[in-house]
Amino acid sequence: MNKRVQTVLLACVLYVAGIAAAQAQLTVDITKGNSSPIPIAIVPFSGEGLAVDVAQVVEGDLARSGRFAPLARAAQPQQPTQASQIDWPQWKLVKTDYLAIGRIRADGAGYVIEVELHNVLSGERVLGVSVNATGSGLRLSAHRIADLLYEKLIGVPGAFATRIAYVAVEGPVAARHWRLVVADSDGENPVTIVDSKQPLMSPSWSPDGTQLAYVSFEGRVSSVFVQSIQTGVRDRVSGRAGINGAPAWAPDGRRMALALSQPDGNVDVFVLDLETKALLRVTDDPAIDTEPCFSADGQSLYFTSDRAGRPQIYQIRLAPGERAKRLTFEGSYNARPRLSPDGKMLAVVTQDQGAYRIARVDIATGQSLVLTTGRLDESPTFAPNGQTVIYSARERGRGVLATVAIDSGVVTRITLASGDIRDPAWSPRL
Amino acid sequence: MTALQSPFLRDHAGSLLGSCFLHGVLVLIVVAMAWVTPPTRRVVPAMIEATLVSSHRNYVTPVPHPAPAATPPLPAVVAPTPVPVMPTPVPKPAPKPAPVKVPTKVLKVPPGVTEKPKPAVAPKPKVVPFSKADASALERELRDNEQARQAAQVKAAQEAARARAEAQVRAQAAVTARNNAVRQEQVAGETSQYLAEIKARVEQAWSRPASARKGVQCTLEVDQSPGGTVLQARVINPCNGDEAVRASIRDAALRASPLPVPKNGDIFQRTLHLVFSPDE
Repeated sequence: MNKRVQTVLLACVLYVAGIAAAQAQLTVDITKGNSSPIPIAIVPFSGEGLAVDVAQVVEGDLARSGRFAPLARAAQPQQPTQASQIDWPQWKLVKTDYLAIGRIRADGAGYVIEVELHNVLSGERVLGVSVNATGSGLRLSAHRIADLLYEKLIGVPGAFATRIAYVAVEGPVAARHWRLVVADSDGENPVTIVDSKQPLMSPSWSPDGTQLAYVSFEGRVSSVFVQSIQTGVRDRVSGRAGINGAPAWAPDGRRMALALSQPDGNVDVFVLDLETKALLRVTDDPAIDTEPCFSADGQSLYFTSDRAGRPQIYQIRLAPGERAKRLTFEGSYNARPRLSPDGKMLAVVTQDQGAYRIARVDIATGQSLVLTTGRLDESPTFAPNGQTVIYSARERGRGVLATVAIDSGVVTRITLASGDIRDPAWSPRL
Repeated sequence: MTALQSPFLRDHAGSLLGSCFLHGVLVLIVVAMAWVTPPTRRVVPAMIEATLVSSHRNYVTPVPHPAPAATPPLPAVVAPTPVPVMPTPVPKPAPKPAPVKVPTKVLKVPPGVTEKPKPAVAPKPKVVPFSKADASALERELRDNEQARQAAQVKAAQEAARARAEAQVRAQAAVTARNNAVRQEQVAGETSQYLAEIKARVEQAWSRPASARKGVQCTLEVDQSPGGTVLQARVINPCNGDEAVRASIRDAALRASPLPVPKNGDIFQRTLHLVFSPDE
């Protein structure tokens, strides 16, 4: 090629390259986000004045999730109930990103609750829902509305329209009694389903949410019962001599893992077939093997064992000749595993800086992340959406319930009337 | 630069190609103009080389040049040109080669007819008798020689000018390249700082929903005012995030408004691309 042309071309190419570099589309890679709560305002719905402040229930749910920061009513610049009434600049001024407004009207014997969610940043209406409620089901409907709002913005369904079970210990030592209570996820509507003068422990929800298994020391010996929540009918499924403890349902609802003691006092893990009553021994180790829970596929168990000297989490497949595999290596104490709904994580009690705290353990990698900051946090279980863990904490010498968001570590207390609260268990979706 | 990585290319193949096409057209025009002047055989007088070297030596890259070490075979039309020489920076085509005493050549004598014995032996042999015809022939010959010499001179001058122009173009290219490099480096630094500021701002503003897990990737196209105010934010397909992810990234841009503005206004662009791809 002609040398001159080459030169000219070279100059042009350089020129073009310079221009191209200067004018390239600017692209920014965003790889990190935060779990800081989304600012939202739940304005009181029109037509309230009912037994239940629906907007307040929704607000409480969202706040407790750790993913939302609701604006207090006193700070709300206005309280519109129709979209046309929204004064956008005012809401921008108070840095509220989302605004929920709603209306409640009577409909026959019940109510219809209409709720709209508006994006203050963009001015768009992002959700409009209508939920029916019976007169006595206003709270439940409020939780369902919170579930919808949560799902819209967080990407997974909320877990507010669910229930929790826990044990409340009350009364002076001489007249102490134990109650097994089932309540809404926010602690409201508590219903006592068992009241005993002897200890009650370890409630566990059946996968369909209709029954609870628990340990009772009535008659001064431990037994495992399965009780229908609706009817109260119950069945003693394990009452062997010695320890009958730590019931945990299999995903199929037909089997139950238990910790049972042998005549020599050694505790091992077993699986009970609830239909045939056949008992399968899973572990056989001189150490204490306890607190089992099923894997997502129902083919193996996670459990606590001190076979290595200190309590750690192990996994064992439910097949003859299988050996237990240790899962946790971080920290000197990991116990009481509970599986996340997606089957990928365990919530455990771990020893952290001399205190007992709740941690999440990635099953695949064994990596552990401490979530809470209490002194004696115990008994974690996942919410059915996997986003929150409920556990018991000690506060001024008594047990209280708290939840922690697994992403942000935001801890919220569930306020209950009184008593020493322990052993919470979160229901599946109902 | 991350801006040149694949998502960018994918998203901007169109505009890039357009830009390249337009610049290509520009290049073609310049090239075409270059072609219009008939390509000349390259005959670079050695003396011109000398000029080039000395006057442009300060340039960083003295564009490589096939320096004819041995003098190219000059068309033997001209007589004793001063011959190569070292760095004689004189662009002028040498002092006149005293036309009178040039008689020694002869080129166009048809072979075979050779009646002139070895012509170029000595300037001295003025042996041949001098006829009138001989005189006029000599005269004619001298005239021809003179014309040829002049033509050669003109041609040499033209070559020199052309070579100079060419050298200038090359030098210009070198300067442009160097300036581009310096400017690009500076712009790249300013750009990366600007992008880092935006990144920090948006990441702080992005309330990542639970469904935004590793593997999710969505690009947000953001229109901004010169002051950085976010005017509009659109999710560009494909985006494998769910509705909550899409909403959250739009919100992040709106929440981050006004975005930082670059110190160098040239970097600013009204449209930005934010690629959201959670690393956990």
